[in-house]
Amino acid sequence: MAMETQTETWRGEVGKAVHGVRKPYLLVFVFLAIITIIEVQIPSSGQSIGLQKAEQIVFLMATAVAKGSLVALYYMHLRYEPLVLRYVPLVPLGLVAILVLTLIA
Amino acid sequence: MADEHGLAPGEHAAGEAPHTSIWPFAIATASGITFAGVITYWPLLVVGLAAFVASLGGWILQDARGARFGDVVSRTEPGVFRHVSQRKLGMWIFLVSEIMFFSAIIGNALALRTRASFWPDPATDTPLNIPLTAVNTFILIASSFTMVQALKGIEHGSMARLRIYLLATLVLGATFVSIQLFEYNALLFGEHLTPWVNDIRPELGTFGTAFYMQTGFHGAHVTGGVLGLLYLNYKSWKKNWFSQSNHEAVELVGLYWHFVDIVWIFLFPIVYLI
Repeated sequence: MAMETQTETWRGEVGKAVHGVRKPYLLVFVFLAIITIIEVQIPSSGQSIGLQKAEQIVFLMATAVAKGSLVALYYMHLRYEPLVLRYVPLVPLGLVAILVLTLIA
Repeated sequence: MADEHGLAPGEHAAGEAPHTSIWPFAIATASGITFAGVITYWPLLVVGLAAFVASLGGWILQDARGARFGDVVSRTEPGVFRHVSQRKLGMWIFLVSEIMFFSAIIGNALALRTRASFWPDPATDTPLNIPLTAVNTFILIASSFTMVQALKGIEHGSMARLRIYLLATLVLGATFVSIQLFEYNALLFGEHLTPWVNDIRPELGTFGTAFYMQTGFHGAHVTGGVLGLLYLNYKSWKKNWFSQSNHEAVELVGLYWHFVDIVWIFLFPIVYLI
């Protein structure tokens, strides 16, 4: 039946698969901290290292995407979730792009 | 087919109270009324906030009376999500709606920026305290690390690690909110950066609106997360609630907490550094 639900422990097949995998939580944290320190230097030192304003924006957005992806993949465990769940957060991105571009245009 | 608890599909665990509650629906309705009040008529805002607090109180009271929302058994939907618990799927769908919410907020601020006659440069004339906020950013990132360590602790059956790391996350989260309030105080009364019409520094009017809109909504979300962490701490320290096989609530609050961290990872450069 369409409305019928299955009953299983939440630590089902997925939870079992996750165990035994070494998760680099500390490494991710160190990376996030280092990148944040670099980001903070950009407004004051960006010009002196040859980064124009547009390049600074691109750099800061790229580091933000990298940091956010690491948190989502490792701290939110998307890296270890079924593929279908990894697509769920991607669903709104197209709508987000349309929304932001419409607002800016 | 029975699972490892001897339960057939659709059955409840022995002694398990029903998982349903009207209060989350009431909270969502109250939130809708509140937001409608923000953009239309302030008494509606007051009604929405009062309904929100009452609904939240109702949910807490229901929980205090022994309803077990976070029990061992969780259900999954048949089909493509059959390996994802309903609760986790629900949390992710909620987070998707939050992505849309913050995208609208940030998009609006970018639209204001492109049309503003003046926007302070972070390298020269910004009224914002970038070093202090960088420290606050580090605190929020550290809280994400302690949150995931708490989950790892209980996954390995360590109640002590769960408690210590949950407490650390709560302290770090509360510190983030406190520093933000300190920053707001300094900006409002020291730099005269206001979210409303700015008579003292009119050139900062549009920037102030965008700044408080973005950081304010994020701060409200962090405050909500701190309340969730307070709940988890109470359950783990006082009620000895969680175990190696029953800790989904920790994971779900963790998902929310990491999400507000990701939002800040984007807001910090957009608001403070660009």
